[in-house]
Amino acid sequence: MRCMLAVKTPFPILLSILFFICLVCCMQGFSQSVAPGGSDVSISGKVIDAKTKEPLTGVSVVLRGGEKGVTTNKDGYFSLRTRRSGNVVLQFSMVGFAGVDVDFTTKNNQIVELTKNAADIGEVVVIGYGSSKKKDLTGSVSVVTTKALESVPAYDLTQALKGREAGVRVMSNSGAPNSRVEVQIRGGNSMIGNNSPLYVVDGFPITGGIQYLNPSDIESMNILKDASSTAIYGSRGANGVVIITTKRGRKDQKGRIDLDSYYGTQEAIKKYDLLNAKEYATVANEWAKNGGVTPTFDLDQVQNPGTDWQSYVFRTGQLQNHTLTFSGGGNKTRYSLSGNFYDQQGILINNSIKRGSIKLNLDHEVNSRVTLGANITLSRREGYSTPVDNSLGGLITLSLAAPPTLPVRDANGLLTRTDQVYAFGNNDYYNPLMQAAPYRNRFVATGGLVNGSVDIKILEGLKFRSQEGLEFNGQINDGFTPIIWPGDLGAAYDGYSNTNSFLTENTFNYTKTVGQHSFNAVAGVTYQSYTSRSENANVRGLSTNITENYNLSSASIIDVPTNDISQWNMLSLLGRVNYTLSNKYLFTASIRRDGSSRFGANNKWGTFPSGAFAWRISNEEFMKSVNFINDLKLRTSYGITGSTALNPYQTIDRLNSNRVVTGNNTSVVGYSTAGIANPDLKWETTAQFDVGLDAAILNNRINFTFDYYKKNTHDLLATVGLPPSVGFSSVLQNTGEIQNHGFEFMVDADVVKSNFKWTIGAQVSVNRNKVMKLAGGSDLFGAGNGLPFNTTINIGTVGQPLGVFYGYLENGLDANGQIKYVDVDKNGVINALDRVILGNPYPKFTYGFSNTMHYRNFDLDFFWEGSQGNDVFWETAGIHLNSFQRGANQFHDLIGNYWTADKPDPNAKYPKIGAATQFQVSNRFVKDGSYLRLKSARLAYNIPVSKSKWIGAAQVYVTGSNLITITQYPGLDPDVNVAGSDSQNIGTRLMVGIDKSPFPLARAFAFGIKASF
Amino acid sequence: MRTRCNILILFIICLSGGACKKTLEETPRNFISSSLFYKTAADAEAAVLGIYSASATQLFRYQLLELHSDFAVGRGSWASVSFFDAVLDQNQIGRCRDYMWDFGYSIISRSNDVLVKVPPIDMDETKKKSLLAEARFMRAMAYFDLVRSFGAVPLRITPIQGTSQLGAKRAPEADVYNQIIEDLKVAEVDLPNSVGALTARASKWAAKLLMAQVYLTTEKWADAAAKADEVITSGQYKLVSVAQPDDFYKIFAVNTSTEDIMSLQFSSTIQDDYPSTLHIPSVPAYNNSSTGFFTTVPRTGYALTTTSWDDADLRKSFNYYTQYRNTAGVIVTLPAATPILFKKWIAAANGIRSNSRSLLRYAEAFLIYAEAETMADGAPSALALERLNMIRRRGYGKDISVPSAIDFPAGMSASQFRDTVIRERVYELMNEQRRWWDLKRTGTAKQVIEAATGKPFNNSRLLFPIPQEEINSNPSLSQADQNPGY
Repeated sequence: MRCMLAVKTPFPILLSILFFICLVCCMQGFSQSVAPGGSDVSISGKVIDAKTKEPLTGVSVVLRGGEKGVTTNKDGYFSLRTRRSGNVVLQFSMVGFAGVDVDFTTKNNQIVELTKNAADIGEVVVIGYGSSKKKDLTGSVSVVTTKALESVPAYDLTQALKGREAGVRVMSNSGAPNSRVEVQIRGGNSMIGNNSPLYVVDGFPITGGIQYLNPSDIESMNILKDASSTAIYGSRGANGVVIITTKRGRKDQKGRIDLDSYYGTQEAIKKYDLLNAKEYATVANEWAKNGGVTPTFDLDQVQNPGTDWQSYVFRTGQLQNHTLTFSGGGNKTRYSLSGNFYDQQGILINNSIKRGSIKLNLDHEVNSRVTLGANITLSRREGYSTPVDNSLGGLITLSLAAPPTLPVRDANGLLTRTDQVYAFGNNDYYNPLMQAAPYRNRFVATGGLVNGSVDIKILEGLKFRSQEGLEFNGQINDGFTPIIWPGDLGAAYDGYSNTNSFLTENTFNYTKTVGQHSFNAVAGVTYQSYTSRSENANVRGLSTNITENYNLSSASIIDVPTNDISQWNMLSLLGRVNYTLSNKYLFTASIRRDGSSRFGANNKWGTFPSGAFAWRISNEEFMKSVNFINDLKLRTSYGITGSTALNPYQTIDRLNSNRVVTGNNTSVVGYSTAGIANPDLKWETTAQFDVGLDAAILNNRINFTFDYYKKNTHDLLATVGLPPSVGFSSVLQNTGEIQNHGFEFMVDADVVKSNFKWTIGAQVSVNRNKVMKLAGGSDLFGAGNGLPFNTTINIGTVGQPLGVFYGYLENGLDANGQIKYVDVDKNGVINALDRVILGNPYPKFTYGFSNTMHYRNFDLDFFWEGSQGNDVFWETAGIHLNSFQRGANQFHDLIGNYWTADKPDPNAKYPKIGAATQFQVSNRFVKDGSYLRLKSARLAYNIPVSKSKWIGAAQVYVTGSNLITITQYPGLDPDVNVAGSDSQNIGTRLMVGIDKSPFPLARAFAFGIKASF
Repeated sequence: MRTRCNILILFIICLSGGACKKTLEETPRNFISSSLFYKTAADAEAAVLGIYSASATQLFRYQLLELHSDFAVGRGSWASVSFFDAVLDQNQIGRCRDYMWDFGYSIISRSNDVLVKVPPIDMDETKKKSLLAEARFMRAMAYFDLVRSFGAVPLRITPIQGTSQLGAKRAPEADVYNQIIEDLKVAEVDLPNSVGALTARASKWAAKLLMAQVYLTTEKWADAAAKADEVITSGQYKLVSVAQPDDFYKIFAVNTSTEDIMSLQFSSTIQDDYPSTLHIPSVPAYNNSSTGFFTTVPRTGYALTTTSWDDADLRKSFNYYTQYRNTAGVIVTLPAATPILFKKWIAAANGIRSNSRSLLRYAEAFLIYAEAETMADGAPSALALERLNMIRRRGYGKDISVPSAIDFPAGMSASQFRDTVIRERVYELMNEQRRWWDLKRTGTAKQVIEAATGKPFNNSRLLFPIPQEEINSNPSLSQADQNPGY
């Protein structure tokens, strides 16, 4: 908790912590109140695992009535004394196991069997608006074990999810702390809409990100993939749904305290090999010579090795995470309270993230019919970042471009103006340390989720649940660009944004079993609203660096302040029926009707139905004799889901306001039509078919799941090109079709089950994305991504995956050392029509392979993940090659490999070095991005603590991530290569698989301790 | 509990009865929709300002045009514009689309909106006529640039309704010019005589000077001369006197001057980025701004604009700089091999690029008159020669009205005289985006560029490519409508 306090935790949060700690203590006091006297009786017994029959250590044993509590020793035995007369009922509980009450009144020395808790072994799965036994699922649902999430030090859970689950592709747009992680379930359905799944945390469909949530607070995470499981989320279900349940106290659980703490460091996996000072000078002189310009450098004066600029921007970053959890429960009340502090420095200077969070889950049974629940998560995050990803002015690009011949600081101690010293310099390539502190680009977010629920048992089998929640985030975005050189203006900004979303959900749940027939029905109505507001102020012309961005009014230029508001409402009706016949034939049907303010006036309501059927073959008579198969289930489903790709107000015809200066240095406001409105706009519709097989064989030692799916998304929200001569370049329409189909295979096996235990898990995911139809049949072109190419790199064309690479084919060098391109259409000129498809940014398959070993007190986990067959457009190389005229340093590979007039090799790897040498988007930059990576490894030692009265369990471990990478890819990281954005501009969205010097993933090592008391 | 149930019941009633319809209606708060606009005189004024606002940030458009000349060379990502032996590459094709085509049609569509939606507004009729004239003026100026850049272009003079009228063929150049003249004829009557300091807005004289340019381009010599003469004799403007090179800053480093007919105007928050394309940052006294990427640089060793440009012409030392202050604070004279940068447009002393930048300048009327009058008459008249000499005298810092030793002599043939005027235009209008149009209209682009670059000129460069997006989305166009070479 000390670390919690180290973050500037707002005072009210501290108060709440204290308050809840008091509350928890009071409850403990209650449950331990002493009962009236009687004779002293000794009660003892043993607790074993119901399945493995092995003794269980650390099981909490409490006499009902709360007189005494003990825990079982390492052989599973317990013993306690009581003076109570009458019934002696002991309550047994342990995290991960279902608690039981056993009557010891007449029988002492019993062996008690505990069954592993349903959620932990995946037997009960939380699904949309309810839960289901895993064996009764008719849809495709992945259950993520919390253990998998714990093995990688991660700021948010999506990072830990990478490679773990079939059909779930996690793409890092950047390795920066708090960076955007793109999660796609079964491929991307949408061209300009969101492709991320819907996250539902404790029943609340989250509108912002889930970064506020501490991964250690997660009890279970279930990924709904097929339409039968997601259609209940209607217009938000098409991208899959991730259902997250946070940890709660258990009934009659003895109070316990869990500590989970690690500390580590991170460093760059790889740096680029660049020219040293002399080589740089040589190349610069070659450039000057070829351009008929006097060479800049006297090579004898150049001192090697020169400045290694990368060493000034990369660093070893610290990483620490501490979580303290209090949990327990009495007969009526259960609680779980946790505090977390996370602090990560990025491997590039001035990039970091901190999070402090507190979470309280409380449950209380008011009476036999009414149960209340509350979840409160509050979180404060503070992140610092610099431009890095996909930007010419990013830290990595700048450090790679800076001339090694120049020192970091000049004679006056000021930063060297690397962009101006040489005549060929360019201000795109300024000194990277301009982005070192005190330069600042920061956000401070305070937010969380507050959720309350009431469950009412109306009749036997009929329950009503009402849940009300508020998700909120208040965020300050501020920044400061200091005055470095005389004449600098300096700049500062301050922005504030506030978002909140209110939810009310009211559902009825009815369960009934009559003979061979089991029914379950859910019906409900939900309403969710969202409001976002923001204000921004920018200034330049600072009078001093001292006040940074805290005194904007002292600046000489104060830009017009801007603000924004955005709101939406959504009203929904939902229903689902499950019917099981003879425990063999399972049917599910669901429907949701969504009304959304974001849909056009002519399409306010959408209906999303689904149906599924599963056949438990292993329960058939004819299978009874097949002993090696323990479970076999065939599933199939079909359904319609939607994606609200629209932003608020997009269906409304609007006027833009623009400022224009007519004279006297004063601006006035003019209005102009913003575009052509389309009141018919609506959700994107995805029809998904799924067929899958779940099987368990050889005494349940091997479990596998296979799924085939096919998704057709139509009514794609698309910016349909207009002839720009009408004044607007595009109009939004629901048109176009994308298809994703593929298969998923997962297997888990207990390879060795003895003193040495070895469990493996593996998954393979294959997805094929294909554009089926585009508006007007015309191709979609990626936007110019700024220098060096500023032109299309990706294209969307019918019959191909969305965003394949598109450009010229190189054909050696001509007599002047210039690159020749293949004249594909043989018309004698190289023009736009000579461009062809150069590569595919999507993998042929992705895979993961995990190992868990246990021997005596040691646990060893390691996890490999990889991607096969995807291309990456290595634009980083283009930045350098196309920029010598601007003075950028080059990769070392250039030396000895470029064309010279003395040795005119038409097959030289690099053309003549000169201002006239231009590189185009070509196959030169398309590289195989396949890789196999040891994503994480973790070795743990479980300290024997059975003799201790107060320590339940203790473990120390070392863990590492991104330890080994096997790849042919020449860039820094084959896994971070997505330009990635949420933009609704199709040109921007098409930029996929492009490596433009993004923030690479780090190699991390950490030492940790876990203990429970 | 009762409350919860009530909420539930309420929802169910809502859903069945449609009472919640309002819940799903969107009420925009931070913008206005067009149904609420075009009602008042203020709306009409704002709609006209909306046309002008399209031009606020288009620095690259001016750079692209300036680089289409013999005396300027592109640097960095702009280098390939200057490779006149080849057609434009994909990067520059994209710039032609963004900064020439899309820009022009954006002004045209906004003007068309005004011309259709403002007339029904109940307001002062004179004011209304003036506003409509501004829309016509802006539309004419946009079409004039488009037709010179792309040749025949789709002629759209009404706003688009829905997506049903997307098709438009390339209208012959003559039709486009007819429309331009028709618009300007209305504009020159209805526009105000003076706009005061608000020279970002069109006046009667802006319309007349633009007409003179249009007639000059279409070789309607007498009309061109007549319109130029109207401007010269308007009594509204006066040439700024110059005694030393820095006196030119009285024209180019100010918000407005006595020869400013129409300008792009800027402020501290809406700055002019065009100077950044010319300058090295933070190099007083030539550039007060901390921004500059000098991607448009003078062609080194090009005789017309270096050795054969008289050093006594003050405009030469005003237009170039030959020294800069290095990082150690030492003033360094640039080596001959290094580009000597342009310095015409600079930031204000406080580092803000808020000075205005001329679109239409009084001095040009003199040069247009001299050229057009001579071409109309077949020989330079005394007045044509005098008006040319007035500009030259001012360039040399002489009294404009007093004959001087540097005056051009009388007795030149029409073609000699025209060449002289065209050359004078280089010196007077450098970095004001006139050279490419001059080379094109005089048919000398190939010859002049080849002489300057020493490389063959690719004739396809005379027209910019029609954007592929236009060909793809305009049902009346096909690939065959593309300009040659693309």
